Amino acid sequence: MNITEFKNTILPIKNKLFRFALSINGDRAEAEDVVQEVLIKIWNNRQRLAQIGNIEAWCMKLTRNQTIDQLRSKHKRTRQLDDDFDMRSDEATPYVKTAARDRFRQAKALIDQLPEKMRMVIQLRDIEEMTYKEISAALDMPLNQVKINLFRARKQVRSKLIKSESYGL
Amino acid sequence: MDYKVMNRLIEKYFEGTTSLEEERQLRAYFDGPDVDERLLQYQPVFQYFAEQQRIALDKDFEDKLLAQLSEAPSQKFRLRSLNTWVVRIAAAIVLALGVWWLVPENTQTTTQASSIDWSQHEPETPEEAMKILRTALLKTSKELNQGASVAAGEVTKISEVGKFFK
Repeated sequence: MNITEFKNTILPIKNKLFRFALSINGDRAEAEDVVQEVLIKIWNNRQRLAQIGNIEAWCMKLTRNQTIDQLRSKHKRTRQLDDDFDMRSDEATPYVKTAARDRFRQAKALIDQLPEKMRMVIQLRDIEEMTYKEISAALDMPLNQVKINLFRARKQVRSKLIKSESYGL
Repeated sequence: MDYKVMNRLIEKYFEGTTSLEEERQLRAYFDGPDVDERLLQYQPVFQYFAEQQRIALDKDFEDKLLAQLSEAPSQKFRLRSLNTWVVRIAAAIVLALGVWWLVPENTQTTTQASSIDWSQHEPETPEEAMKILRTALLKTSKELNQGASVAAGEVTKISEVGKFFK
């Protein structure tokens, strides 16, 4: 793989990798470091890329491992809701106005509170638009477990949404 | 979009049976301005997903990364070329020189030792023979003592080092 191929096949998924890292470590600067390290690793191993079936899933897997390593080495896990919220890019939120903002914030909290496996599966499916097979490869999780985790995650989100709605939150 | 259609899609979504395309439709619907009142309760979650999809790295990230990548390969090439050709050839030359230098040295010593003309050192009287023998024995015992003291010194050093490993 030369630099042009790298630019055409790997670089377009950089934001996916970034969001995935961010969803795990909750820190923009650290997530950026992770993506940078992952992309350098991929470039240094570019001769091996031909043997890899699904490059995108493989890159996601590398990102996940790298983020977890980084978290372990720093012994910290900060998932502060407000920080995450303010971190969003400027061009976002065309329809999220002040009144809806609380509900939006609450939706984010619902996803963040999910158990780790469920949260990762919902992130890869509903945000990164990956197929079950790709998620299975990225998370080293059997296909049926991917489906079960996604089903449970959505079910949990729904019941909490309905609950909070009926309490008028 | 029709409420009935969207509601059916929502049910499918929570059953975990929607396709990627149907999920895209749901996000687009809830991210837009015309959401049916009866479905408003689901809006925040789909809006959150749509919002998350817009999160991106800073614009200068790619330039910084590509600058780093263009530095890396030349460094790697230099290291690899050293590891293979230069080092192997150098090692072969050093080995050959070493063998060439050591071998003649040894043969010279052996031929020198064997060519001593003992007839010149032959004693003529018993006194002289005694004298030669005494000198030889003295020299030998002196060198033996020297060797023994060196050996004793080494043993002391080793036992001192041994203390650290106890």
